[in-house]
Amino acid sequence: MSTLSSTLSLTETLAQFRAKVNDDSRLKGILRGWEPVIMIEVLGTGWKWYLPVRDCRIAEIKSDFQDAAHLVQLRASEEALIAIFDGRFNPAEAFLNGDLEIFATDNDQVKLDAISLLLWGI
Amino acid sequence: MARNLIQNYKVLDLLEYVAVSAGMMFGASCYLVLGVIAGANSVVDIFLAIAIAATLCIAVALAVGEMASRFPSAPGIRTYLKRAFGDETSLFFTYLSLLVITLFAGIEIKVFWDALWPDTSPHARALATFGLIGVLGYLNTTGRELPRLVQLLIFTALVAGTMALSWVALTRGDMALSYEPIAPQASLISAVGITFFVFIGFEWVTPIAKTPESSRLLIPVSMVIGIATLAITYLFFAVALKLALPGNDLLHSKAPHVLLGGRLFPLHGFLLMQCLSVLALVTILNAGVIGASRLLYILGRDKSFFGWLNKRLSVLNSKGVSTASVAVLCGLCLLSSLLEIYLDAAQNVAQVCAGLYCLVYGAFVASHIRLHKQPVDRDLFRSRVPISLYYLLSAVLLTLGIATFIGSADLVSTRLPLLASISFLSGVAAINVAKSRRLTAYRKT
Repeated sequence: MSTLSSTLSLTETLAQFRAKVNDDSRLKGILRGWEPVIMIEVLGTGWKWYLPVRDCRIAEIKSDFQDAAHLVQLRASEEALIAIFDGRFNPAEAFLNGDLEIFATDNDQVKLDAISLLLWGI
Repeated sequence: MARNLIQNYKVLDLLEYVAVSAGMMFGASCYLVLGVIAGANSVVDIFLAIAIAATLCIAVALAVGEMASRFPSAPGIRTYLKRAFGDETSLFFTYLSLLVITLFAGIEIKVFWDALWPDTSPHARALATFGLIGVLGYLNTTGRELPRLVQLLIFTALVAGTMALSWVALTRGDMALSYEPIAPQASLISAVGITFFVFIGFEWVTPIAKTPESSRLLIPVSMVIGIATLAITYLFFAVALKLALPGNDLLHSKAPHVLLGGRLFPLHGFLLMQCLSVLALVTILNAGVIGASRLLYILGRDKSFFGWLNKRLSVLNSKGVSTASVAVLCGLCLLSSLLEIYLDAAQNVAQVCAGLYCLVYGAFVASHIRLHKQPVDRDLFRSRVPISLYYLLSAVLLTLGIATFIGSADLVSTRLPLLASISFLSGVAAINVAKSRRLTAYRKT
């Protein structure tokens, strides 16, 4: 069962992830022209975080977002999401294990994967 | 109005999923196999073979649908089998199905040339195949593919064209009296087994779910609709072939649809059927090869192959495409095409593919039996077929798989070597890669 400290931990992990992405100049090329809203959902709780990508950066982290025209949806357990977004868990492995669900076009999936490859080399 | 809009989008999504699922099944090679089935069986047996194969595939599709709702967006074969039976078994069947897909593509290209260029030499066809696969590879690596709506339109045209041809053949009153079936009768079991070939690939729709809700209902339903639609189409077509063409012509024809088109419409029939062949090739290569190259990429990222291959497969070009994945797949498709062009073994290879895929579907069913009772914290699509029947189904699929291999003069010269080499390669690779992955995971701890 999730606790408040686990929730903060995922929020902190996402904040650190955002800082890493925004500080890494190698990612500018990948993010150029790509402006989805990345929705991260914790399975079984309904908690959601929205990470809009604007101007080659993750603009902010929100708990609500209206009318995202281009939505990339990720779903997993809290533990899996924390491990994926702090680089401990290979997202491709998580995806093939069925631990991570991704609802996005092939192009979006490739972009996400490229981000994880560049950031953590996994 | 908002509710109507949402419902319309859902219907469009469903149609799109049906087009992808059925598009993976329906290729030009299906005409070849239906010709073999029609030539070797009575009308009653044709009906039974298609009906039984479709029913079995629907039962498999319902099992796959339940697993798809349990693991939404996951690439089915790798994920479901891994969760049910572990790494080695999953890798074995993943490699097996990838190799079967490339054999399938080779048959498609061979039948395509038989329809468009019936009198050319193998060397000319080989050269043209290089060009065709080269173009396919180029389009893939530059990130170009047909939009899903175009895929839907092409699929609709294929089904409509085939049904129209069949309808004309069946309603011409003189047909049934003109020809007596003189081809040797095959056993019903092997007829059902080879009929599986025309339903291969329906499960490749499972990773393309746009939303979690799609996996819970639209994806499973789309597979059932796709199989049922094609079963009716195939039945009409096979019976039309049976009644319109002599049994020997059917058994030995490499493009029975072109033969039928020419018979019914002497002026334009060949051209119309050649157009259908082009559509069939486009839909298969667009849905199948592109999807398979993406699967190769994600398998490379998961380190599902050997070290140097994983690294190459994981590199993306500026268009976000894994050039190595496309190259590997196109290379295998080329090899498969050349094998069939020079050995003229398309029918035998089709039977090997059908037999192997019976085993793959058997593995899916076995996975469903294993995973069915595992608790999950969401609503799932549930197959209404009792689990006891799935035990029976897995035995039936194994029997069908074996039945499609045996009972032919070409067993020793063609089918057995092909079956043995595919199984051996997949098995050895699976054991070694799984061992390497365990070692890597152990070192990390």
